[in-house]
Amino acid sequence: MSDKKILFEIRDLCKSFKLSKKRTLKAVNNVSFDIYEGEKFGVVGESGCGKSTLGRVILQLYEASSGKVIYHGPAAERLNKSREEGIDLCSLSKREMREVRKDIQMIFQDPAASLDPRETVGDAISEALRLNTRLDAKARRETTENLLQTVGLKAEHYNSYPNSLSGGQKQRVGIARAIAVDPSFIVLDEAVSALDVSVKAQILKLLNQISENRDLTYFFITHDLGVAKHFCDRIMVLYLGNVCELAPAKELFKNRLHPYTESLLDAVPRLGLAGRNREREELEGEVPSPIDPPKGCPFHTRCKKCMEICKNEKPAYKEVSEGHFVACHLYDDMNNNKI
Amino acid sequence: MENDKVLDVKNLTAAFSIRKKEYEVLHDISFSVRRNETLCVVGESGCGKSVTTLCIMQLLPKNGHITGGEIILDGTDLTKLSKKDIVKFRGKKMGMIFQEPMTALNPLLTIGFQMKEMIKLHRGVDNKEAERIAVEYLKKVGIANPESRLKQYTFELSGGLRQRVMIAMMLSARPDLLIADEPTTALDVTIQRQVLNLLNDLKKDMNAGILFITHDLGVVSEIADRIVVLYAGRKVEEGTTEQIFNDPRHPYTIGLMKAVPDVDSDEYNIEPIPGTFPNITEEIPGCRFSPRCPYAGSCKLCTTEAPEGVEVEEGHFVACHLALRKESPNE
Repeated sequence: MSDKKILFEIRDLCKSFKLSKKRTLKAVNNVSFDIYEGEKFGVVGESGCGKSTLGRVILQLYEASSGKVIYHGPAAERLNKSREEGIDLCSLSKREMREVRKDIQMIFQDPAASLDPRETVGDAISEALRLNTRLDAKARRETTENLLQTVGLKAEHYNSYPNSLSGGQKQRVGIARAIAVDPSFIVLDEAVSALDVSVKAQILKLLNQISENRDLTYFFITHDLGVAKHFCDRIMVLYLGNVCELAPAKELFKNRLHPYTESLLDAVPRLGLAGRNREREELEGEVPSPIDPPKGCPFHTRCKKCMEICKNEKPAYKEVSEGHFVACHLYDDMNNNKI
Repeated sequence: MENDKVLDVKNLTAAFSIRKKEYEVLHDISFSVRRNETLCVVGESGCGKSVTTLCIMQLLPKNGHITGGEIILDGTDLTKLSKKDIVKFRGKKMGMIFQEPMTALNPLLTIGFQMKEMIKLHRGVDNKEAERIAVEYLKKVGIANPESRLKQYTFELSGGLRQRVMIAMMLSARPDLLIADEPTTALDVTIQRQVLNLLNDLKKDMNAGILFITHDLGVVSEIADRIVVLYAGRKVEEGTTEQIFNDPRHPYTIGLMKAVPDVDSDEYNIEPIPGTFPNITEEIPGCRFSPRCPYAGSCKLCTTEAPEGVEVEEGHFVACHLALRKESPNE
């Protein structure tokens, strides 16, 4: 994968929230990975695994506790750095960060909550243009109407209020607003999870088209493994704030290495009758609290292949075959290419 | 097998009045749930699946009312009961599990108090016996240390445990019918798997029928014995799980299955249904699905006449003008 340009380098990123004097919640724990330019990078995991926090830390909506988020996009040049060198978003001032924000956008899960009910659709989108471009009012209106058509709405929707739109249409507005400033990177936090099946498929198709036409990179957070498999190029599996496994989407499904990935994929209800009478092994128990995470491998309390070493020593995160990373003691013997 | 039916819904029609106008939300829905069987009602939001359960529980909001049909549970037509009499059925004869157990349980009372209250009311036992029953049912749903759980409050439990408590509570009254409205939608996949396995296991020994409401076809294929597909307040297809998955006849059912990403397939196979779900205030002539149906152009009747349900094989009903034609939309 060396021919691909790196857009983000995430290194040893940690985010903890202080709950009280004695208790801290480690939401993201020492996470390192790269995001390539133009790819759809998927993050999956159960609730509380830190996937949303990770997205927000990358966008600097939360301040990282430690670690680096190095960005190699167009904004680097605007801040007088070369793109190869990149900029560490965690060390930028607020003013510099504002410059970067034009490049990085976010689409939220609940489209209704992310739109102001008293603002028309047109105003919501053109506000982004007003703040970030030098277009005059007429040009802004024109651009907004074009954007509405790009996302499959009509120019007439310019004057509609969010309450007159369906869930799918609202999410289209959210997408239009995110792409208005011509970003290079979008974090989609469960962007299709609240939508009905038939509409979900429509929105995924739209997102696919947009990424192809506009050279976009997606950071796609989801709990839906079926969607992740078909929409994303690479998938990262998180558990309790730690990376379990990272691999190209199809490779991950075909050749899952981490026991957690295995149980997660096995738990997904399958369509049709094929899997019906098969006894599925269920993952026992529940995700431990991130306030007091287990020692050693975070997954060892529920792992069926747990060994003695797992209880005491946290497994290293390493590349076991090209582009396939895993953090599990089962693969300790394989040639170590630590990153 | 007539007396095998726990619940028999016949030609149910319901309407909501909004700004003094009447809008029909359910039209001529019929289905039945048999003992020891799980019937899944599937559809997208707004299709009327939750309204159906609310009709059965007689819990419709003030502006909603049943305008026709019968709901027969244990020989009694629920639509004809007074408010006072329906209370005897709720909980006792039919229990309901909701999507979000946190809102269904009282956060100020312990699990034990809430369970015992229910058991005492419906089974007429004393406090000690109620506690014994509560423990027994918590064990049945796979909760470890049930005695200490009884002293806990809902906020001390995780989502999966809360749902188990809800299920235990509903089962402890030994109902004939268990209504589960999206019980696993708010849960993570691994916990969802636990709850689905639990419901499948319980089905065998609780001697009741389960009416399971969901939008997730994956869940349906794992839990259903029979399936009813709703679209915009109409029943578009009904059949056994085998019939629906092996031989779906209605274009909506087919479209719905194609829109779900297949985890086991390597090809990009998500195919959206074009258009949007109709609002209840919209009037659509003919078949309600016709504006989104890929086959509607080939048949004039689709846009002029609402299709009647026809039985294409035993127990498999389809409401589509094209279902009986040779060139069935399946090909």
